[in-house]
Amino acid sequence: MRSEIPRSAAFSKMEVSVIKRYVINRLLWMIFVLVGTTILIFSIMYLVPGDLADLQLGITASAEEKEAFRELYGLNDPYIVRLWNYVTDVFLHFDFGISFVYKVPAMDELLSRIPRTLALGCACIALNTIIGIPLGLVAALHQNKWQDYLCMFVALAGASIPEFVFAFMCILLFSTNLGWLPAFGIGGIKYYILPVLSGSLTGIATNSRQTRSAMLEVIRADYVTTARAKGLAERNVVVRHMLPNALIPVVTVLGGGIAKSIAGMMIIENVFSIPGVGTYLTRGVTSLDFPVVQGSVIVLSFFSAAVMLLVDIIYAYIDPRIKARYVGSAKRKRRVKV
Amino acid sequence: MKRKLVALLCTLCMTTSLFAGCGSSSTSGSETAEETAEAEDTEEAEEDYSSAGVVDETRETGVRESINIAIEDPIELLPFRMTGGSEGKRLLYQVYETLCVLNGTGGEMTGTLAKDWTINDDNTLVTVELYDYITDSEGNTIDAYDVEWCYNYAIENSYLTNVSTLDTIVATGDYTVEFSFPDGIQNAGELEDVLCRLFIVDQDAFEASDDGFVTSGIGTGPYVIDEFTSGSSVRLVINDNYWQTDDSLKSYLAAANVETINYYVISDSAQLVTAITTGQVDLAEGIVSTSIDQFKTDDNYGIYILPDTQSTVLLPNCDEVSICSDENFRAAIFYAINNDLVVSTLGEDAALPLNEVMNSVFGDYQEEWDTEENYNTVYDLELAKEYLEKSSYNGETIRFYYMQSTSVGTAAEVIGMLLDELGVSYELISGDASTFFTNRSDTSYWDFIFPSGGSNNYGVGIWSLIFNANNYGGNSFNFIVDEELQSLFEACYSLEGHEDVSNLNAFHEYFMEHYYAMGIYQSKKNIIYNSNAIATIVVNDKEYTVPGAFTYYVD
Repeated sequence: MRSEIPRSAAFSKMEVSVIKRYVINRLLWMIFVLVGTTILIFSIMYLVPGDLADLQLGITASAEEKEAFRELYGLNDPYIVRLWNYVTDVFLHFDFGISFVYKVPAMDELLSRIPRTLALGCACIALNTIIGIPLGLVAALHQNKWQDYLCMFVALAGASIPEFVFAFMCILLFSTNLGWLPAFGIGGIKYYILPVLSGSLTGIATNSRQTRSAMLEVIRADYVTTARAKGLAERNVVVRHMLPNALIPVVTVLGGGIAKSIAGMMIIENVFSIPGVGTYLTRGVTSLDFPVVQGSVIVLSFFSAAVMLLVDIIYAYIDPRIKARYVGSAKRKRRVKV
Repeated sequence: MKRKLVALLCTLCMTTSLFAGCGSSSTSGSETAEETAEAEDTEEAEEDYSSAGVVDETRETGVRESINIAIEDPIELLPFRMTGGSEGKRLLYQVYETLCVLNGTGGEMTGTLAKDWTINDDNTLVTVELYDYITDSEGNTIDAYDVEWCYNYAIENSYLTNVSTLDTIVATGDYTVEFSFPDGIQNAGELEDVLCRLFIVDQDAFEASDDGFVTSGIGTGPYVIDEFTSGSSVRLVINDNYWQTDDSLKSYLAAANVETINYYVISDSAQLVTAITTGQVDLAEGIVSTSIDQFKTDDNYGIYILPDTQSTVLLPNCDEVSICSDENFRAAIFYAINNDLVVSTLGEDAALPLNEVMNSVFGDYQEEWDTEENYNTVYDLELAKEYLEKSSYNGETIRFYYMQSTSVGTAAEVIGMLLDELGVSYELISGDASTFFTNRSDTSYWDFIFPSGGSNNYGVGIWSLIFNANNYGGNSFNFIVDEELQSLFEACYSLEGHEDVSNLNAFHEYFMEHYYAMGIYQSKKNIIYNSNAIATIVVNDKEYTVPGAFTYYVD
């Protein structure tokens, strides 16, 4: 039998300090995660087959020209030397190196592209949340009625139709036939409408199904019956009693979606010619552009770790039982030290 | 029951949506031939460069305000790195200039920044004299010292390759530069590779730039980079300070018939069709050939379909580890391949069958090769079977290796079907660009390789890519070790020998007799343009459009 999440006030002073310590602890661990990721991606790229000189200079370049290229980019140095140089550049100088293809520092190019991808990703997440959660709510509250079937049909369609197919359908309708919206490029808000619409389809489907499933778990709980018996309006029952208890798994899915949205928008970026992190990383992989691939993976790891930390903090805010667990474990640690 | 019905309905919708995206009207061969012929008939050879389109005399032409063009992502705008750079960088031909230009593929070389040049008797020294009034768009003077610096910088940073015979570049005066070739200029196209392939900039301006001209730049060309958004767009505006004021001395690349050129990066080929049909761009290149039909019957669009400079060829692994070292086996495979069938599968708007490894875009291609009877022009399955019986083939699986691409993959599958008819077991292996050339050098990795290659200047450049043992440490691209072949190649590739057609024929006959290579198809490029805005289009020697040189309607 599921018990209701106890309502309590926002974080107290002690809880704030515990959460602060928790965040700092996680941030320190994040450094180790990033160092590990750096070593891993560097090693993977080191072991990838293919001669960069062949790729960049063409097969007809002479052996001397190719050797000069390898010397110029330090490709002949031993693995450990290259790894050490790279790790110290990244963590001491925040330098991912100069892209072989773009000829600009990978960090600079990433910094110019991240805002676009983030804007696209955040807009998709916002739309996922605004449409997906209410859709799941309606479906759950009207289980086995036509509202439920309609919402789940929409969700099923959203989960079934590939993003790029939906993107082209939107382009065909809104751009080619109606001429309302541009089909590619970046600029004002209108350039992001179709990409956001296309990129959020899967998320809306996932969130609505997750919300429906979570709501159905709490809808028959005793505390909900009690709340109704107390004469509370249905709206209050849903918003104040059911929804907070159902949100935990939804937040988990949303958190994963945010992390994915930074790395996983490459299909949308390619279709709509948006110069974001996805297209940057894709080109880096196909061109064996080490600085780009390594830099992009490190940045994406950082974002993913930061998002997971944020999700954990949101858990604590939503569910005081989790908050209490943090406080309790901190108290136990203090008692042990004493 | 209801849930099952809903699930079934969703499945049907999904399946329907899959098919809705497929299918296009079939290309009519005769219609295509007609359209291609129409494009060719309307080509106006202005001086020595290629153009297409017909000016409507009832309309007014002049300098247009702006034009929008779709391009591949140029990635960066570094002027020195054109070879190995993105196709989108072709826009830099409007911003920067080389010492000389070629008027058309393999055409005559004329000076742009170079006023004149002389070559000494033993071809070891080329002296170039510059115009003494060249300035870039910011007013910086370009002199011989800038030329010297540009070449040395490009070579040191591996931006300029294929110039290994070039030893030194020295400014001997303010406006004279000497290029030294200690062993002499040996090969056809070598001088053109040196003089026509490197943009010249002012050294001081380059060194003062924040990013080394990677995202902006100052050139001597008719246009200036006004704005660059990486991965999205580039805007060029007219260079009001263009240095060459004598119209009779201007190259065709120096025309500026439109005030602003907006280039938009469109990475998806389906989006190109949307962009041009919605009017967001006025010109798009490289639209999928199956999507061209809709434009053929629409008077609002002009179509220019031209053969690419690249040949896609099939090369047998002539190393002893492979069954293809057996000449009879090579003959069997080659006679079993029907080029025309491959091309008809790709679409007649997409490719042309090749009758030789070299293609007819180049001036040194001999037309008589089209009418010869050999494995490249004749498909003979019975003869192929005879050769197969004579060979040492014992049912091994033959590995065909190609770089991932839609057209090459389709061609490889068609060839596979033809080999099924011959009774040869095969395996198709595709590789991406990053590993293709590394695997190429592994003699045990493939039996046939299916590369595409072109040339800057002459068709012998394609032969050089395949057969020149000096490129690959003593054997050819496909591991041929044949001194006679190399000797005949050097005879037709040398500067003087190239002029003698008998050398070209001798080499052609020799490698055909030994079944060393087979030309499969030559891709076609298509250019779709808004014919209400653009009257004629112009392409340079590399078949890049030159928007500044187009003729535009202004009414």
